[in-house]
Amino acid sequence: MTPHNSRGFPAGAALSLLAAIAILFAFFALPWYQLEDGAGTVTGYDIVSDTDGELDLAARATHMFLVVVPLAALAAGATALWELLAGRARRKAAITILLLGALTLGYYYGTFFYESRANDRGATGFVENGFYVALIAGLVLIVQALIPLRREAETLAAGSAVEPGPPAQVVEGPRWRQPFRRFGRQFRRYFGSAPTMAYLAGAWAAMLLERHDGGFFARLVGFRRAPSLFGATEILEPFSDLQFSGILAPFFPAPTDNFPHPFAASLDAIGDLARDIWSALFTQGPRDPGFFSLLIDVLTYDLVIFIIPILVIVLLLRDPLNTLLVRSPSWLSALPGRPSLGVRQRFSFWVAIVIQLVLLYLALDVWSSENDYRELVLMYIGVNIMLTVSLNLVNGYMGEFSVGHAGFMAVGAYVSAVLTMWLFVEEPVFGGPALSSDLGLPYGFLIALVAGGVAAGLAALIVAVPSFRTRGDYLAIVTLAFNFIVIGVINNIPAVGGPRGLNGVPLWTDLRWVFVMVVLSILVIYSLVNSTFGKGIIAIREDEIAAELMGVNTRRVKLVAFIVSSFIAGVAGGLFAHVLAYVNPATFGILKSTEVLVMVYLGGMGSISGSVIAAVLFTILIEGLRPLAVLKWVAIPLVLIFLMLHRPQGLFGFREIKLNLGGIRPEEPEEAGEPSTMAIQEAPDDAAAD
Amino acid sequence: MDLSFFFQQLINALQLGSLYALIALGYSMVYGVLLLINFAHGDIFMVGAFLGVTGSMVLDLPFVPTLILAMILAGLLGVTIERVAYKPLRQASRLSVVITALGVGLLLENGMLALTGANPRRYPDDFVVTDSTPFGLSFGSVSVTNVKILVIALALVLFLGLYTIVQRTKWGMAMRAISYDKFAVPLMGVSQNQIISLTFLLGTGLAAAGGILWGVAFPVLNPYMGMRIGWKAFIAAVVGGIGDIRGAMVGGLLLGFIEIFVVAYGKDFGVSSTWRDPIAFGLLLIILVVRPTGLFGVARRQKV
Repeated sequence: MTPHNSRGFPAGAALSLLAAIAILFAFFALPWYQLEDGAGTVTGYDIVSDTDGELDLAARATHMFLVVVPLAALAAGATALWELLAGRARRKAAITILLLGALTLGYYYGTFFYESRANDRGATGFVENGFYVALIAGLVLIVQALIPLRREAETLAAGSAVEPGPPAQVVEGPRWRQPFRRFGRQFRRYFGSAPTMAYLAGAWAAMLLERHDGGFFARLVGFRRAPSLFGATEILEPFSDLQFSGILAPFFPAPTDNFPHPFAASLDAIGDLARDIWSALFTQGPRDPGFFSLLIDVLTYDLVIFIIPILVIVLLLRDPLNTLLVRSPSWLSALPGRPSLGVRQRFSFWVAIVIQLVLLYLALDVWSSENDYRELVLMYIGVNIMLTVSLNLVNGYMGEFSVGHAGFMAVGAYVSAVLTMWLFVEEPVFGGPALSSDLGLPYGFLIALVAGGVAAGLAALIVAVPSFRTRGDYLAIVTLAFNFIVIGVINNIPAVGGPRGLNGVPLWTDLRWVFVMVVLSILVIYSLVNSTFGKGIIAIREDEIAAELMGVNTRRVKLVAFIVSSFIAGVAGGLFAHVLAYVNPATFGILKSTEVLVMVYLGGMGSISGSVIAAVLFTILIEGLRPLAVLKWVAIPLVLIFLMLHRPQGLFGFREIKLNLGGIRPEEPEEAGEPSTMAIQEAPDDAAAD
Repeated sequence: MDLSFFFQQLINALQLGSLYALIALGYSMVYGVLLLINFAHGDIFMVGAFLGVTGSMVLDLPFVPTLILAMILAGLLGVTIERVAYKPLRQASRLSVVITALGVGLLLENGMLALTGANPRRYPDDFVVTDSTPFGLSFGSVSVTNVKILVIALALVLFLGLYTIVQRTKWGMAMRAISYDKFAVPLMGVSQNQIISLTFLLGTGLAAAGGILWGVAFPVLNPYMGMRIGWKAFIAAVVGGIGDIRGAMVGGLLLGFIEIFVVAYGKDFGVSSTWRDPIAFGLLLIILVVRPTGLFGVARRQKV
């Protein structure tokens, strides 16, 4: 931590303290709102403490969300006081105050606009002085926190001009990128050294905040309910009824069409489209907001509910958690049997991993409990992660080109669905349960999933034996043909519904199952790739003949990797089958295989974290673009082509994201990046979603 | 076994096989030169079929000018796609080009759907008149419509033309040379880019011809028609020995024969016509197991 202003009295901190006191004072003592029909005024505290609804407020702008205002002010005041007592300003304090100020203002924004929307007389009609005092004080907090940051940036720049600066100061790239790069550098400096655990805790807290206040704040901002996927769908809603089809239709007429002047008709269609796009971009009225207005609403919602709370918590937890994580091995020396340092380190590392997984699960669980659609999306994300990571083993780590992954998924899906339906549930296709319906969950389902995976693995064995006789792209052709064959065979088995699909699959997949299976698959692939055996896999990618010469049994290695990959795909298919109570062979066609391929290469070959992030992003993209209907499948390939042209290696080709899972010493956070212990790749969901 | 039924199916198989072969030729040529599985090829086939609609319905052209127009336009589209999407990636890993090709294919079919709407298209009734032309033949109960003759004959002509270009011209020699050693060819003063463009021009032009013939033979066109047929033609090209144009022709015909005969005779053995795909692909896989390099492929020596 470098003090940016070590000399003299930290006037900024004093100002922050005053501002925080002003907020609190305004909140507790000054008149805040007018009551309906001139029945006097109330303070902010009155509103918060009015749990039984005695006050007849103009709008129902009542409850818990106002608690954030005094809490943020308290925290900001405490930070400023600490700064003041320490006798010098600290940049971390400045950032904390900045974020707290932003949080306060975010809530104000919400109230203010909600009031003005809910009441014809406008917000000013009933908001009282105290509200404005607190508003201005919040602004002061932000401005105050910005000034020292700015000054320090200048000092840094000046210092680097005199001394031979570190290479990070070298100006590179176009000019317009500079502010972003500078921001990125600063951001990494403060948030990069924070342990993942802090992010996950922040995510959990943010999800709790959303569960409590999300719906209310969403209505404040102008939505009917909390946005499902961070607002991705809501933003695109205005574009949902654009008509593109008239542009080229005159040149490719159907027999029923009649276009005497194709060019004129096409120009007409383009004109109409331009008008529609224009009106989709800008607000049409209070009932029909345009894209830009929605964008502001969504950004406000995400910032106030998710991003800022997460960042505040990360900043507050960063140093304590780092210390805790780094020192925990030495505290463990009191364990019975006096384990060696290495054992203790590993033990505490795995304990940390488990805690983080629990935190991640809690955050996801809270988030998805809001509505069923979110849980559905999370389950799709999980299935896609499993498919992507497993295909990456073959295509990325081993350098083969398998294109029929959906075929293995289909095998797993059908085998497990038939097993659960036949053995454990009462349904129309197979009649009553052959065993007992009590056994279904959890053991029956687990067995069915494993059986699906084993079946997919066996199918992989059948495919692999002939295809590994051949070289290069022949695996592509064999897996492609396999995919067609699987779909064709399922279509021809009337017992499983043929092309109509299989109905009545029990709805057993839930977030827990998906979460556990995803973690297990990532763990399996990670350990496989990092084992000696995995070195063989990578050697095959680099040079198969050389690998053979170095003593790698290439046939065996290829076979095992391929079977493991297909096993995981089969389990993923089993999970997928039990999501919707319905499986259909058409779901597992070439298009699904293509999707998996896209995710693998989007994330980057040979990168587990890349695969995870690509699966998350791609699934959210697909779900978010839903309002665009056909255009969705125009937008996705465009993104893909653009990405391949500019980053042919994918987002994280052959690299992993370094996560700070084991903590780093808080004394040296400036050299962020290198975690002290091994890092396994587990992407926090919030990082991808933000 | 009914002999006339057999001959009827033989003609049908020849027709379907010729269509597969026309598409497989493009796959094979591009693969031979660039080692690229051009997954957008099937969708260029679709674009070709749609350009046939433009020629016949908007411009009111007869069959042959429509065919030529569509081949030229689709060929130019293929060259443009190569220049814009594949050329910048020539130094990148092979698989990123393949993924780009997948993206281009998806973009073509969904862009077509988005920009032209979902109404099914077909060619006008007087485009190729099925009866009353002097070419329609019938031997007893075997009827050989002029459409079938047209498809088979045109496919044969195009194949022979292509074969002549590849085997007898300097351009063709350059193409073969590039597929043999792509590093040495530029050193000999041959422009690699020109040859690659020519390859795409020829390959996609043939796909467009295939598209129009397909539309004449099976008259419903929709933007997704290219994907399935394209994948199948790709498999046919591999079975024939990818990179070899005779192989593509034979592979395409073989796939056509298997499909038609499974449908025609399968029911005698209790196999319904819906088993067509699994059986066709299964047989092709068996061929690949026996001859891993395909029917006409030559195993390349791997230098160590």
